[in-house]
Amino acid sequence: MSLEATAINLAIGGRAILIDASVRVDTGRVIGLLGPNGAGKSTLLRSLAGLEPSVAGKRTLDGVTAPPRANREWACRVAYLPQTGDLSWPVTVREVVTLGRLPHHAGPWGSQSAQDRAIVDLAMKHADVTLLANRPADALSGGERARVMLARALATEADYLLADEPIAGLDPGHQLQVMELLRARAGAGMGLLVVLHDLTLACRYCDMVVLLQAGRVVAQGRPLEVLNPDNLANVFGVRVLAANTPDGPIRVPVARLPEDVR
Amino acid sequence: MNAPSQSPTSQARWLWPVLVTTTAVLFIASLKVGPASIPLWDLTTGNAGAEAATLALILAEIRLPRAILAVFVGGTLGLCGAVLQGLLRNPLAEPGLLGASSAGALGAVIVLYHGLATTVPLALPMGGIAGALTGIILIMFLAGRGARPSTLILAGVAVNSLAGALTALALNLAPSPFASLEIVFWMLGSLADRSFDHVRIVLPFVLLGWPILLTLRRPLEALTLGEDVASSLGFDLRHLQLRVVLATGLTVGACVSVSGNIGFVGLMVPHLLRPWVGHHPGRLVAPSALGGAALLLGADLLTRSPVLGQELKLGVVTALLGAPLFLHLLWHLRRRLL
Repeated sequence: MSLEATAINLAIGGRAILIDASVRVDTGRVIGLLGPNGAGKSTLLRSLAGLEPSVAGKRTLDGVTAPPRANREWACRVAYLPQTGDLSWPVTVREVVTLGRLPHHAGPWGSQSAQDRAIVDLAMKHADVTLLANRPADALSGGERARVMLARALATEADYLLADEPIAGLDPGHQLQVMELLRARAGAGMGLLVVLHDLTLACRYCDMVVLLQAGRVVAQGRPLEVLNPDNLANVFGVRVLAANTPDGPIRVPVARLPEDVR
Repeated sequence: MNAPSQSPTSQARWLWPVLVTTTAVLFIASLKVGPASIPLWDLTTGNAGAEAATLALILAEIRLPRAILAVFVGGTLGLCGAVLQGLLRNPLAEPGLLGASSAGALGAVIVLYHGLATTVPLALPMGGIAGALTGIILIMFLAGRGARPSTLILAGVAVNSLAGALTALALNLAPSPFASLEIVFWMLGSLADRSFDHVRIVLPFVLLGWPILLTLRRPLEALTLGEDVASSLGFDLRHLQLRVVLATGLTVGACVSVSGNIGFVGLMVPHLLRPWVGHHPGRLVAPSALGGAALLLGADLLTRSPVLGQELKLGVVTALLGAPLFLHLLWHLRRRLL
């Protein structure tokens, strides 16, 4: 089973954002999407999620052509977690997480069942926000808010999760916590595509990484193979300290390279 | 935003009973209170004496249509306020501030004072609806979904000023000796001297528009987390926006074509009720209809207060109540506005 985008092309205002970009997410795996700012990572994620209707290319869900726009059936299978944790009204954490159940109900009213409540409880438990359930969601710290938004996405019980920088702005402890959480969801059979900037975490937590540069996929494969010093020099223009430690591999950018050696 | 002292976890159980009771009490009071006080109980039991026929006539022909219109107009403004606030994710959105009401009044004025109302059936509400739709579409075009509060309010100021100026112009050019008095009616609104003819004008559009507005609960809930999340949850936002624009145009346009432009109801009602539905944009919709009806019934009762000697315009009362609240909201939103 897989969620797949093939030869995606997208231009916004005459500028090509994505050029023949392809990505494939299998269930049970964490795929990292990496690349410099402006490489098109978020746009690729949005395209795959069905939020860019003008996109050219092929999108399939388990081999079946996907609808151009996310609809209710699609929303039950594919969850999307944007980078900005937009919140318009100070509703409680539990109510934010409950919004994840919306696609499972047709009709204008759609009352919650006991099963919905159990699923919401479980999603909050998985994202470690159970204790926040009755707090207003606008009064949380950045780390808490990120986990609440993740719980909302998990409450959909989708087969695939497309997460845009889910650990941006989190402290190291919370970064590890969220990555472990995503890893655990993959262990439970979910397929995840995660936009990341942390090279070390990508090496440790991803089954595969896709490297994007100026709208094109320039490399993909196992993290340690793709995130090698040459690729990182070419794509990010940095020299990295690459090492293997008892805790796993590390990739730490240590210096910017001059233009001519990239 | 105001901070409710109670836990925001769930909807207050007493909300519906209180809203229903308040509306019912105010409805009965507005049948009873006025220049001639009507003893409703005596009238129904046949103990009203010699004046019974006159009082029954006042009740049926003056008070009843006025109370029914207050429910329709107030309910519409409250409902549209809640829905527009949910769609635009902005507590300042409402038909009055956005210019939909004044544009609707302009449409009605053009129809009424330039001869169309007598020649074409339903011309009056159609004029109001055309005006309100133009106003709301202009707002969507100028500011759009996801606009910052300041952009939205500036767009509303633009539409309001233009519609107000054109209304005054249309009335000045109209062949009527009472033009300046009429300007006051259309700008400030009133439910005085309305009849069942006016109820009949509004009724079909309320029946058409309210069900559309009352069933938008789920997409408005989804919009709590922004447009991208709402779309990714399977809601078509273009479709939602179309429904809101159409239903708002239909109901607000028809209402202002009989009541004139009554401001601030759509701002006040959702703002006052929001803490009691846990700030939930979906659960706010239906109570706002009832809250709007209650507020306008109450405001219309105040216009008949004997203290002032003569009847106030309804828009004066709603502005006196609503403008301070608007300032309060601005005060709390000022960081987002800058």
